[in-house]
Formats: sequence, C-alpha cells, structure tokens
Amino acid sequence: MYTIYSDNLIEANWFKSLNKKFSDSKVVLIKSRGNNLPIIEKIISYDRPDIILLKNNKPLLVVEKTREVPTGHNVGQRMARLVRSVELQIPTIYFFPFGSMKHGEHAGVCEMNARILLAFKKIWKIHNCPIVAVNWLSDEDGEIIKDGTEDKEISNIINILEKDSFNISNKIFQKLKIDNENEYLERVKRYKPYSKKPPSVYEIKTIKFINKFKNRLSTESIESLTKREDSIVYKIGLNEKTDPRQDPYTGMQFIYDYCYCRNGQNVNDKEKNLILEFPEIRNEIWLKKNPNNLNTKSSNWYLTANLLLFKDGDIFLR
Amino acid sequence: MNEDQIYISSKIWFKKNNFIILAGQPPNGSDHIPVIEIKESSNIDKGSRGSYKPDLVVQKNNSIIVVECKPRFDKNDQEKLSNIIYSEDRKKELFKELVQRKLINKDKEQLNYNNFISNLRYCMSFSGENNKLDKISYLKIFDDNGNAELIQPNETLYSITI
Repeated sequence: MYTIYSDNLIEANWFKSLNKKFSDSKVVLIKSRGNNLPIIEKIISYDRPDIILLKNNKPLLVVEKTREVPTGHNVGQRMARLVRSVELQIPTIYFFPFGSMKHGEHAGVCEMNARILLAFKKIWKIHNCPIVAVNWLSDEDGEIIKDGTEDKEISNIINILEKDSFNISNKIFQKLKIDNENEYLERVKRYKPYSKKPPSVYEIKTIKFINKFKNRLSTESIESLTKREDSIVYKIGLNEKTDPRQDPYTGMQFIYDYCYCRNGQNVNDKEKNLILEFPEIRNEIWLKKNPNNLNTKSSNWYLTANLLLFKDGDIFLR
Repeated sequence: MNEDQIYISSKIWFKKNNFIILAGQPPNGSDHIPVIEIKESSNIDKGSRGSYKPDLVVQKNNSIIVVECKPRFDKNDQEKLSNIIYSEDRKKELFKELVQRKLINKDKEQLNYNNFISNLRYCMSFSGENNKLDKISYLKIFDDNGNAELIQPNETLYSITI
C-alpha cells in the first residue's frame, strides 16, 4: 500500500485522485521537524514538498504543485525542496503553469522564468536522477484550466510510473526531459535574456574579486576562493530593515549554483565559486537575523554558497 | 477537525447541494480554483496590504456566497465577512474580481452589479454550536465528508437558498 505524505489534506486528496491505485493509500500529514520518519526528516531538511509518495517506507516520488506561474525571481521559491529530493535520488515532478494570466491593475499573461528548466537539466545530469516540469495548461485567454482536464497529463505520467513501480529509468522521464529541453530552447528563442545570467548575477575573475573586496575577506576565505579561477556573484538586495526571509533567494542560489557553478554531487564540487553578496547588510546584523540554525529555514542560506559577503566582512562557508 | 478538513467538507457540501465552486484560497495550500483578492479600497494600487482572500466563493443561480472556514466559530472571520456586508467598495472589488477573472459573466452579462449585490450572501463554516447570526449563515460541519447543516441567519433577506 502506498503512503502519501503531505503538508496539506487538500493537496494529498488531489494527488490521491490522480491514480486509482492510490484510493486506499494512507495520507499522513508531515509534522514539524524532528517528529517524522527518518526518511521524511531527510527529505524535508531544506523545506517541505507538497507530496512525498512512499511504499514500504521507501520514497518513490516527490511532487510539487502550484497554480502560480514562477516568474522572475519567484522561480526560486520552491527550489530548495526540489533539489533536496533529487539529492536523495527521488524522482521529482514540479507541476505548475508555464504561463498564465495575472490579474489586477497590471493584468497580462505572465511567463515562467525559463532558467528553471536549465537548472533542472543540470540537476538531473549531476545527480543522475529525474527532475522535470509539467505544464498546468491555460486556456486561450491565459486563464489556467481548472475543470479537471488540467490533471490529464500529470495523471497519465503517474499511471505510467505506477505500472512500472516508479522505476527511475522509465522512458516517460526521458520524454519529459526532452520536452523540457525543447521548451527551454523555444523560450530562449522568444526571450534571449534567459540564455544569459540575470542582472543580479555576474561572473568575475576570482583574483579580481579578492582584490576588490580584500579588506572584507578573511584569510581563510581568500585561500579557499583562489582554488577556483572564476567566481559567480549573486547580489542580493536585502537590507537591514527587511525582516529575515529566505524565499526566493535561498532557492535562487540553487538555480545559479547548478546553472553556472556546480559540476558534481557534493556541494564542494564546483567549477566556479558561488558568492552571495549583501551590499546593504553588516555581518553582525546578518548573524543575529539569519543564524545557521538547522531547526529553521534560515539555515538554507548556508547550504550551497562558498561565501557570504557583507558590507563590512564575510562568512566563509566552504 | 482542522481547518483543512472544514474546508474540504464545506466544498463537498456546497457541491452536493449543486453550488458551483468559483474561487477560494484553502488554508496552507493550493487548490485548483482561482484565488480572488478583495483589495482594501484605500490600497487598490499598493499591493496586498489590507486585502482579503476568501476561503471559498460559491454560486447557485444568481446567488454568490462568500464562505470562511475555521475549526470553530471565529470572530475574525465574522469581521471579515461583515467588512464586505457594510462596505460598498469591497462589494465592488469582489464583483470586479469575479468579472475580470471570467468567473461570472464570461460570455455575456448574466449578472449585473445590482443583481449581484442583492443576491450576495455570507457563510461561516465550522464544527460545533453557535448562536444564530444576523446576516451571516453558518454551516455546521459534522465530519470531513460533507455532512453538515446550514443554519440560516436571523434576517431572512440574507438567507441562502439551497
């Protein structure tokens, strides 16, 4: 019998409805950190995904679902939890609208930030585990479909996987991978900036970076950074007045890490350094507001970068 | 019962009674229905401050019902609904949102604004007992399978037609 772990009964019921074999599955709500099965604890250690499917306590699939289009910077919001499941070799599906109508004063069709598809491709390659995006379709007016037919494709994917015992090598993943790659190329053709780094990210020769910021860097940081010739800097516009927050920045760091830095499964396997720069924040204030406390999401700031750079100092990570 | 269960059960009850689920914002998660936002009239252009996202908005014939779900009777939910009852601006915002998202009047004007406000109703869903309210109905939820009893408000003008 399957067990569906979820944050929320509404999402668990939705997932249950995707396949007849799930009808007698047990739904378990994910509890707060430290109160779940060890495997669930591992999966939620960065953040909680919407759905974790288990059989005999073995995780088979993680599904994340949202009706919001992940545009611009928002694309990072759910990234940490998706990366985590792939790190643990659990195939992962992200179901969201690739484009849909945004309402309000500035109404219009919003399109996803296609860099997520590039990140998925790299994450899959590095961890040798499927991670794919599935489109929640919209109608001709850009309104997301919500008459039940929106679930047709994802339900079909789940059916195919279920029949094959959620085999990680099932061909459906390869098909979705190709679809995602084509989608990325198509979107880059339509909007060229997606083939480049965004304005908040720049590449710099490590030696140049060290010279520029040497009065803020510790000896340990300088020694470690110089091991890589190039560095990627993600400039984050938070300031000391803003409340402590992680989303979407801690997710974006994964997108930039996988797109521009990582070349192996271990977080230290990087071809380029990843530096998070906070030009408006002092080191001391940062530590007070965002400690590396594993019981809170603020620890996600410390997951993948090599260094955090502040206006008066740094934190060396790896 | 928790808030999720009340939400799910309310949705089942309204569907069973032939209401159409138009929109809503479930607790802690995403459903497949649109989320609508009723903005504070003094804050229309400035983001979400003061805005309100109903848990459920349902329709039967010309009547639109705004529903709030909580495990027990909740004074804040009563206030949220009262804010619509006593604010013409909020009613206008709600109507605008429903039309803009093509949840009503998709192809032609089936419901004009005057019809809309005269048929607008309010409901709180929770389990347990409470005194009847003047203008707000309540749905007394028995389980998470949509078994519930609708308690009509004191003022018959605000009754929900099943």
